[in-house]
Amino acid sequence: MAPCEPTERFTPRAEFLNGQSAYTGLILHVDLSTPCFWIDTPGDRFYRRLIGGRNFILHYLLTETPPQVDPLGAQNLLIFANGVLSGTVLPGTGRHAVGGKSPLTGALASCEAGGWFGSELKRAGFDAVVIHGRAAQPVYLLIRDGSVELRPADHLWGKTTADTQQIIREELGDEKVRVACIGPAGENLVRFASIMHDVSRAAGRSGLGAVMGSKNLKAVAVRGSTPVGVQNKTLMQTVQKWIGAHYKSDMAWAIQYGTAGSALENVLIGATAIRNYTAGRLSDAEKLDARHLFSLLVVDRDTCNKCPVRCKLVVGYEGAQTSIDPRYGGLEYESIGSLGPLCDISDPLVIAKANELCNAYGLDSISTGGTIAFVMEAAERNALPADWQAQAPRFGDGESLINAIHQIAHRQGWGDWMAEGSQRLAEKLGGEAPQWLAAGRGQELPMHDPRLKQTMAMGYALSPTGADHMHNFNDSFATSEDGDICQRLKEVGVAVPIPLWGISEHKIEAYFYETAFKNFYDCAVICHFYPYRYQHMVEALSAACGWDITLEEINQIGLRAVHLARLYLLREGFRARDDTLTARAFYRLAEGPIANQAITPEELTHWIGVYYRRVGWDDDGIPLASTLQQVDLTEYRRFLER
Amino acid sequence: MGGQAHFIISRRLASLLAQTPPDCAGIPCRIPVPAGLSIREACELLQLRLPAAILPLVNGATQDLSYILQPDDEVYLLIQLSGGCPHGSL
Repeated sequence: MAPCEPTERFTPRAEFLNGQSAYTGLILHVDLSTPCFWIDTPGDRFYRRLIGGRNFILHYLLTETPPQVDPLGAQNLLIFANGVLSGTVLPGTGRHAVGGKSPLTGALASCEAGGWFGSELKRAGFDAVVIHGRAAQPVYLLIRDGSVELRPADHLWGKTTADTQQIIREELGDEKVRVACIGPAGENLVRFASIMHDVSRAAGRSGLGAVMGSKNLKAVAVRGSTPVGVQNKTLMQTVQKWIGAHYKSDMAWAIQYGTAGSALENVLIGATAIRNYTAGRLSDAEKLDARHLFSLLVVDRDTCNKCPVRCKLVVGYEGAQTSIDPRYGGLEYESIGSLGPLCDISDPLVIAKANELCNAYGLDSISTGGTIAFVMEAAERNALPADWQAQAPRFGDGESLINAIHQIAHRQGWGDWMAEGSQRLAEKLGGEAPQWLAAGRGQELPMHDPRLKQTMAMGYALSPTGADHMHNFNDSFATSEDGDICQRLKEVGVAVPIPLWGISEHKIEAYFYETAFKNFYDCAVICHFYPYRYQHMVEALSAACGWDITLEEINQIGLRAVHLARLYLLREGFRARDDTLTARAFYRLAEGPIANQAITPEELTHWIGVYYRRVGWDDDGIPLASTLQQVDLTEYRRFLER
Repeated sequence: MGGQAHFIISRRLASLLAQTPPDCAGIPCRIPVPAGLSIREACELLQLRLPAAILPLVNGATQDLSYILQPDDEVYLLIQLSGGCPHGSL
């Protein structure tokens, strides 16, 4: 592929090539329509102010897309963005971000994925890739040590994610090429299609797979050979030593069983929603016990670049009735919850098969489970069109769950309706259907029940991506003074521990700081499971880039993501009235561990207003000019004035 | 045993503890704790350094760690995702 304009030869900054810096200084832009490419070299201030990941995504969405673009149109962008720490020696930095405008919500899509892709992209010479336009025919993008090539992908169209990766590796003769790709769901523009990396690592939420499919882009394959160095190895070693001394104890839960290990416990305490939020107990819940899952299904463990924890499971099974393909990785808690208890299913084989299909087709397992659970309730209430009613998925029926996933990925029959997501489906069904919805800003709720985790409920409502549990505050993780959240809160002067129930001024303060920190993590881009504190991030950023970073600057970097995302939402037409949740978030159960618990819509509105003031937004949720000035974002204020 | 509550230490939790509490002969086990203490205080009394964020399930209902134990309460300490124990106290 040719440059869009005659250009001088581009090379990463000398410090990167010499192993003295963790960022290359190069942002690759690819226009699939022309096709051609160009290189952006935005300079040190850009990197220090935004550092990567979500902030890069927001910068390009704001500056290079007009307002109100069609998420599935050529004008939308698809952005793969590292952070300045991605690919360094620091454990937990084997991650990257992916973003664009969401076809599910019309808001921001901003995901982080683990594995090897991001690190390889940086080794190939680029901090980020911004994809514009739409290819006339299916293609895949190949980036190898600074070279950029578009290749035909007609032969890959219709393939599953594992088959796609395998074919690309075979035709390149390179088993180490790292592949991000979509499956049939992305090709068929399912609004909650995911992008899979290394087959089993999802940029799962908000439908970025459909954005990729709309561009006729089947895959991005990367290979690089330049090691990612740091400016100050001695300083970086202090952080490495700290995490080396602590991860075996602090992350023992992850080392032991991964996120799947707490599936049963989360059901028992009411963190996992059951039967589309209508039941307090799950039949045969003990089948989700970690030891049972492991003995039945787990055949290996996997990990991400430079991570010693190995929290990723590989599941496989061969039986007379079903088989599970280990190429698709393993079960994570969110997938177990949404494809299991939410659909009133506790059979690990059914859940593992459903998870395999989501990864093979490239479907977000949370929205897939959430949408199907919604349909199951509609079917139970006899609220579906007559010819769907007889064949609709049913609570507790594993076979109908599996069938529904096939139908969604291929938009077969009523799968075409389900592929639109639960909110659009509720609008089509009409009547009482919206009362059965569990969503925030049009995205299905994650498996942290907002009736138990009530500050997280507020976070679901405020999230610029639609309901999300990652850039959020997890009430039940902050009740232990020894936990990582409380350790960070102590660094910024917030009293700990934090009470479990309700929302308060105290919890708003904790939410303000912790969500800024989580947004910092998503810019850097770092695994949320690593219990780093502010001081470690000060040292890591200073070591990686040679900057004289302060604790306050860490907070400001995270706040920039919060404010830029808000500016983007406002520009796309969202208003304060959209900061809310659907009915199921307020629905009180009659029995079970969280019986009669939930905040009210009025309480939610009240505390959102308190947060607006704390973060520096006006009563309409619009960032104040002084707020943007405080975090050095004044130039972005122009996006409010359009 | 009147006037006491009980902690139930599951096999999963026990597997993450460096030291099994002294009153815990088998796993899972029931450890008597004084009513009137909060769950957090009872953990401190037992020197039960928990390896990850936990939530207590008291008589079938989820509670905060500040919950004041009542006689005959049965408390399951359930491990969640994440949380950490940054003092390396295992």
